[in-house]
Amino acid sequence: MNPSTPATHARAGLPLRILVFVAKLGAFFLALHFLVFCLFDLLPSADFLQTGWAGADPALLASTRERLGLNGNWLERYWGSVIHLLHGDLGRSIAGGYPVANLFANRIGNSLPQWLGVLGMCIFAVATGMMFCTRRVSVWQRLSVFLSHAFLIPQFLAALVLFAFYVSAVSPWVPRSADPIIRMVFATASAGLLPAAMLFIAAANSAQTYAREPFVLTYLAMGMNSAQIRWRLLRNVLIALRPLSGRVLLAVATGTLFAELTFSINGIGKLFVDSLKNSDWPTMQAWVVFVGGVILAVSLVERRAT
Amino acid sequence: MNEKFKTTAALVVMAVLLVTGSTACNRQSSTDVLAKQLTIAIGEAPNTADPIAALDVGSAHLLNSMHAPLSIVGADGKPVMVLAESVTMAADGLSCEIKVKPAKFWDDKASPVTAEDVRYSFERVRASAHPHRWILDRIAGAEAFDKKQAEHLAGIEITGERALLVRFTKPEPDFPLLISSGLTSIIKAGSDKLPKLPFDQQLVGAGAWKPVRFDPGVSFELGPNPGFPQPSNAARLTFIVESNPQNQLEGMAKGRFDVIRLRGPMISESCQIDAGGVLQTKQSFKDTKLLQARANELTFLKWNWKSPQLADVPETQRQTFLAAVSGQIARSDLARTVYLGAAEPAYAAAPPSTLPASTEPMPSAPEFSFGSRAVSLLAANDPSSRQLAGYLQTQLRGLGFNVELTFVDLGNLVQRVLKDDYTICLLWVEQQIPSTGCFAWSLFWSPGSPMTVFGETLSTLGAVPESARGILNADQRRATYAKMIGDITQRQTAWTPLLSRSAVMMVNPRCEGLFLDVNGFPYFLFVRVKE
Repeated sequence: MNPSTPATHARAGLPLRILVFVAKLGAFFLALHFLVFCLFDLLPSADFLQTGWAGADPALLASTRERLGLNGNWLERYWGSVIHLLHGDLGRSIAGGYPVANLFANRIGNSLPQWLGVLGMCIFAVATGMMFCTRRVSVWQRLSVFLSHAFLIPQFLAALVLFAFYVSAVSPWVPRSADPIIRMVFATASAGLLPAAMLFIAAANSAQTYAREPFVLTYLAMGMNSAQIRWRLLRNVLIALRPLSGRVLLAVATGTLFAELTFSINGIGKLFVDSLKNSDWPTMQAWVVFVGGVILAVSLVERRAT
Repeated sequence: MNEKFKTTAALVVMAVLLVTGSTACNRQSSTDVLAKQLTIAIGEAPNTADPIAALDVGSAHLLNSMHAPLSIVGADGKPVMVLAESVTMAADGLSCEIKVKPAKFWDDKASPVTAEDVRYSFERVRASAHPHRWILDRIAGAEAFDKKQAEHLAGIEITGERALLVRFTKPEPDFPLLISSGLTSIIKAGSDKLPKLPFDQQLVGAGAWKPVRFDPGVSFELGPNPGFPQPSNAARLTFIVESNPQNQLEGMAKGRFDVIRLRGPMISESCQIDAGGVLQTKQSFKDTKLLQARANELTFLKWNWKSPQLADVPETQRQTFLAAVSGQIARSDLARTVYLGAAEPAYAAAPPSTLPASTEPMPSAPEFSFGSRAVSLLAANDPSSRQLAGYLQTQLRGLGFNVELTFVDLGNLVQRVLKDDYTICLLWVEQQIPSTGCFAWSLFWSPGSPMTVFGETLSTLGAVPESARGILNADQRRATYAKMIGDITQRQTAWTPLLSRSAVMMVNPRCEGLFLDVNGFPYFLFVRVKE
């Protein structure tokens, strides 16, 4: 058996594998685009939303459809959209005729601090979970893990509860200049509560399990202190948490959506709701492509984990 | 070496001072801008600033700031001149003389507003598919213009650089009122030929405000137009899109917003009735004031007899059925408790504010045996409709109705009504074109329209509306319209008028000159920052 054969085979297959991957990616995005386009036809049409009751007039409806670029049959519109997409043009928003790419770029800056905040919460949750890396778990530790299940509440509820607290107790004392920052803090807390709780519980349980492994005895015999042992076990815990990444990301996405809507932060999550309300399919399409890309990346990570 | 060091240090210090000084200056000027900025919270994001395309409320805010019509109509029904110096109707109602003020558009060239721009704007409306294009149908030559046989409306004669004479084929005494809305805003002639810009900014207007920075769906920043006849002293007018009513109220309490419109539950949340029966703000909004106007916003129920839930009601008994339902709904209590007086009971096919005071009879409730009946009530998914639908659910329970509420978005609601996919529907209609009484003239009454308010079209109404429109005496005209509305109310069998909601604006006292028109719609053309 020639030992060089597998390597040679791998080298020859690489371009093909890249081609297959790109084709899969393209097919994935086209399928998403098709789905959004079909969904758009089920929604109340943008022309009705812009004309309101006056939309009862067929002449007005026809002129509004033309203005919004909705004239022509379904197939014509779909084909036009695919051609635009292949040219990298996400089109113009139905609300105001603003380029969708610019719209997206404007909003992403508003969501970024929130995402970074949620990331910080998640890191803190894992770090706190690592404190459970001990062979003898105290009653308080057991109780805190048990009580942390209370934070696994639906995110819209978390957003509403925090908003009620903010409006009634916090807002009257906050100076006007600090208002946007405090809002962002509350929004981050409501978006990050569920993913952080999920990660804390999972990290605490994994840390406890690993702490009972026989090799930890070896570490102790070697004279390592608890901080050193925790540091060594962190990698094992992170590997154990990897299959959770998809669910955590989904929780972050939905949490951001509810938090932005409730606390009036004009970010990416609110953009989705706005475009859904306006039947603004070019913007929805961009959103789906954006989120689809992230989900694809995470599913690749999860696949590696399994 | 030492000398070189000293020179470098001196240069560095000078540079630091220069940068600090310029930053301080910038900070000073940005502080000035902030101090002179008026911020208005609006519930719906604008889609366009095109006068013939702005049909939604959000777009109307942008339109009525960036563009200006010749005149607008005040709460007392009298025109207030904006770009017009005078609009004078001839005694026979067959011609109208318009003189334009010296005003300038907000484009880079600051070109003056001329009679040609007025004609261009009118012709643009007439050539559009806007539901209110009928306002110009009595101008001589409209038929030939519609058929594209003439380049211009023959009845519009330019008599001077800033003067026009409009001739009509039939008397049109309401013409000065009909052209007093955002629809007939004056835009620069030839603007349509310019490359299209977001929010139709290529259409150059002569309004009090010009576009500065638009962040779609978030904020719309406007700067003053120095060429407007009454330029504002405010440095910025910013519309912030805030769909959450709670955030609007909270922003108002904190001084983040200068103007908000109170709708539905927001009224009772922020206001109370004082000992004298006057609507006042609550303690947490003590630094604000209220501005109220009778808005022609009629709300009503539409009954679908084709629905299986109502199919058993015989055709002969439908009027009695509706009269009994109408008698059960305590409109006065509704207006007093839910809207704190910012609404009026309505019993006719038009809002009380458009009818003479004597034509608001309280119908007597006949006896009708409803039995126990399950019905679904379809309403728009907005706080105001949700509140009203909840009240109606309670009221109809008294008749034995088990009402199930369904809330959908506006677009969905319109489509379901057009498809007859409902049992009872809670609807509302606002008057957009000011006139002496003909409510919602052609929005629903136009021939061929699949839905009409109170089931009447211009064809079923015959010659009455057409002849009423030409009556020269305003009181007689109003009375004729009122009789027509009364006849419709008597014979209709599918509608229950409920109430007409008023416009209530909460305003920061530093904002002066907010104008509410005869329909309760706010105009920001004359707003100023209190010095």
